[in-house]
Amino acid sequence: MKIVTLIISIVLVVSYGATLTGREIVSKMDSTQKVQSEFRDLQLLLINKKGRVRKRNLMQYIKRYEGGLYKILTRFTAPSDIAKTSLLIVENEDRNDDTWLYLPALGKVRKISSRNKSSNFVGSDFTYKDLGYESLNNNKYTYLRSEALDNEECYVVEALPNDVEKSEGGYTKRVFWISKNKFLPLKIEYYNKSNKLYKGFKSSDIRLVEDYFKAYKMEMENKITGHKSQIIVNNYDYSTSINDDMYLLKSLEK
Amino acid sequence: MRVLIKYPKSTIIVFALFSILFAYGLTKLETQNSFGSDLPAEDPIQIAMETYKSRYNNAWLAIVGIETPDILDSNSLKVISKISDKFEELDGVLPGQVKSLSTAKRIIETQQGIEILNYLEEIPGSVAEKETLKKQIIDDNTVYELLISKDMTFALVVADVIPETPATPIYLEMMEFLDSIKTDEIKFYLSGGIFDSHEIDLGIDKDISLLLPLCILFIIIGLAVSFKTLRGVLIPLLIIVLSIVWTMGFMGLVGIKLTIVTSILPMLMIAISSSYGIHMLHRYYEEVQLGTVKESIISTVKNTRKPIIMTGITSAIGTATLIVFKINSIKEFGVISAVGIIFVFILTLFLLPSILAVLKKPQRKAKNEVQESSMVYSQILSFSLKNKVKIFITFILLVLLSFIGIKEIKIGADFAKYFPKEHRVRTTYNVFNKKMGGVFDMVIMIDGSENEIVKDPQFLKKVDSFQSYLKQSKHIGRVNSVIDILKQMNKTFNNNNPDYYVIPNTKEEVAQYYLTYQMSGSSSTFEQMVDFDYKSLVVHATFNTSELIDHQTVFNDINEYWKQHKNNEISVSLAGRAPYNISFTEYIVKGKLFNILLAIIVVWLFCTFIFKSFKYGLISIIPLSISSILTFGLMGFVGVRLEMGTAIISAIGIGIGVDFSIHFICRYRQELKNNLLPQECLKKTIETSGHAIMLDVLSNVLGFSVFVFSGFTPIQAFGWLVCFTMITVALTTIVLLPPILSLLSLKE
Repeated sequence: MKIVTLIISIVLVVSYGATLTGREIVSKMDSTQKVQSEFRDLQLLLINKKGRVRKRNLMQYIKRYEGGLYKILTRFTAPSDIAKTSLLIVENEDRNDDTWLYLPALGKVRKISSRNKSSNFVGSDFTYKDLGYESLNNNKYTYLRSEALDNEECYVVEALPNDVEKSEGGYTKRVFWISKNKFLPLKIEYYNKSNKLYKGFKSSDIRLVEDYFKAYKMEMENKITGHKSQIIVNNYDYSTSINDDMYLLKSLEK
Repeated sequence: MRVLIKYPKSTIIVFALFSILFAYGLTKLETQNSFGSDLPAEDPIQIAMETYKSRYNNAWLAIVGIETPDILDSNSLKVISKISDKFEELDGVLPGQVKSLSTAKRIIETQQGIEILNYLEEIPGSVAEKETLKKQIIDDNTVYELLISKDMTFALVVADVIPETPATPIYLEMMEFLDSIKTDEIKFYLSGGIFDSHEIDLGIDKDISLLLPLCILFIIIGLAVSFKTLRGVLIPLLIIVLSIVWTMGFMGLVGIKLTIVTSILPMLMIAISSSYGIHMLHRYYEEVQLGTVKESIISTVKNTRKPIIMTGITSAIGTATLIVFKINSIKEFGVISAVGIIFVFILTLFLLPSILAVLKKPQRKAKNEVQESSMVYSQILSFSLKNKVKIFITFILLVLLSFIGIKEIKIGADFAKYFPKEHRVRTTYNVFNKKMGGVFDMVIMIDGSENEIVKDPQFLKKVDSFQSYLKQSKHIGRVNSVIDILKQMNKTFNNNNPDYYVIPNTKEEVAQYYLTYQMSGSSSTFEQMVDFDYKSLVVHATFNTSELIDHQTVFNDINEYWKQHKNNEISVSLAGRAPYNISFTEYIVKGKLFNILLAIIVVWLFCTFIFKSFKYGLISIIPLSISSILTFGLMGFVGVRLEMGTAIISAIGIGIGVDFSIHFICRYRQELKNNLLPQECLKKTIETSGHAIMLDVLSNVLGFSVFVFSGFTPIQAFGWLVCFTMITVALTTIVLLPPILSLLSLKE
């Protein structure tokens, strides 16, 4: 009897995995990443094709508000000449995000408007969109196959953007390798207009942090220029709640 | 030798096999059209260029220039956008780095704060909107006069291309696209390293496909006139074609690339190889009237072997002396042509006799033809022997006159002038010069003493002063560096106050501006301006003139400036096309002088050794020395510049020129052994060898004259001058040597 139960449960688990659609897989991946509030202490490495490295240290305060909209405060801590430089992003439902920049050497907070959604994340090869969440309704997801990546079983899912998404992201196709038991993307390939492999994302050093699987190391490589960016997380904190005051403009100046 | 005559068929087969090998090598031959690899490794400019390449995100540029009556017109603006987008699609173009009005970012301050916008977010429709755009452009020094001309009639779209990307596909795709969007009012120009190198590729291909058949045609005509028999045309032609296949095939096998200079090799091979074939065949026709085929071949080879080997070696030495030039492509040319010449005399000495051996005896040449031509030569001979003094004086005067011409020689040419006046490259160059302050770029790398110094306001102020100084020069068009961006941002972030269009006061401000600039989506541009350690930055400048003298003046000024302002903390080096040209030219001049002396001395020593006589050694170099002097004199008088294409003339002239005197002297000494009077010997020599020399010159001149049709002006000049050299050497040999030899015999 026990054997039969075991066999049935295995079959159920396997078939459950097999019957997930592309969209369901990506949706699950997204939802396991979505947190109420998150603090990150990280190091950003910019590596040129000769292997030279530029390092920046930053802290990020991410909080989720009504309607699933986020406020993100990014504050540089090193090198010293850019310490306390801060960027505040407030997502909006119906229009472009609001962005404010604080340059401590000048003392004032300024609103920055950039119509460019695919603008890079603080000068790196990551864009804000790359680091953000999926627009599930603007992509067509297709489960391609199962594949092992570094000894971890993955769902391989293809994402084809619609025109809106294409104009924002600039990619014509992405392919995800999503870990089956962690539902984290281990690898993503980005293809550009000429259907060439344009960027490659990799995540590693994955640990369980208070119920969430998080990658402590992420890398984005621009395959055409050979330039790489790495995000190395020193610390994730989900338990300490973030005060709403963090996102007031005058707080930036502190 | 007799062995080969015994087995002519086997010899032919062996040669056929080698020919197949070299034909394979021919298929692997590539062109090399890029600059930047020709200076010796230890040259400071070459070192600076290597440093520049390794430190900065270097890329090759593909530039489209757009000329319209009004660049702010909506159609023109749309064209800028379209071309920028098109570039992004092309293979090899670095994405996100295309620079044009449509991709440029404006960082401006408004009431709401800082706005980072694209210029052409919305194409202006009304006059008021256009005016606004115009003001914005003028106010932005990263766009005004860099991407848009001062008079608002010209715009640039600049794409960075991965180095080593093949130029032709990019060229073809862009041309096709431009054709599809062009209108009556808009003109397009292609410039930048990528498109220029395509033009060179094209030029080289065109040259070879036009000149080579033309050259062969001329040779065929020359051979037909000389021998008036079918084998007289076909056999030398076969040797010629094989020598080209062997030489170019050799290049392909060892991986030497075809450049503007080496593209003349096939024609050169034709001119040289035809000589040997003519001399041998000429002698064969003489001998075969007196004996059997076999005997005549043996006798021909015996008699022509020595002069052919001697002339082969001296020609090879002549061109091999080009290795004293420190410029790589000229060195390569020297080595390859020497190898080619050796191939030629191997083919002539072994293959030609074998072919003659398998053929039947030729019909006799009509006797009276020989008599006719011999009459002319006898007359020349008696004239020159009777008027020895007048002839000597004439030549001396000519030489002295030439020295005056030599003083007038101008040195160095610029790339744009490689092409004739109506050529695309020239007209593009002129337009860019007029509208955008020039194309001749110079990169000034300014290194501080330690890392992070490029954030230091003190350092930056020094660079700013330097830029102001440089802008004052009347030969300089555009100047720009990260300094301009920094000043613009400082102004913007301080309420657009023009008083803030200066270097910020603190390191933190500078660092934060740099960060902001990189965050606005221009990090790759930033990396082209400042190095990774913030230790060094580059200042880009362009010349609005192509005169090397003006460039040199500016370099001297720059060096003087930094001598005064350096205080040991800053080191400055120059790279880019303009400094490269200056250095290049210096090497050409120094190399040239060294090369001529070396060639003459080596050839003289060799002849002395072969003839085993100082006298004859010295005599053999007289015609070529005189001819070289006359050629340079002509260059000076006519205004042909000494540069890449013309630098190789002497080596070729000396190498080939000495052949004439060697043939002449060899034949003369052979005749002397028959115990005839010197006068009789001279007569025999001039009728046979002299005649062969004139046939030779005819074929050479015909061969070299095709260069006049080259698409490259230095090669055209080369054609004229080499013909002149050949003719003067031949005439000098025939007119001047007899009197000298006769004087010599009188003394004995």
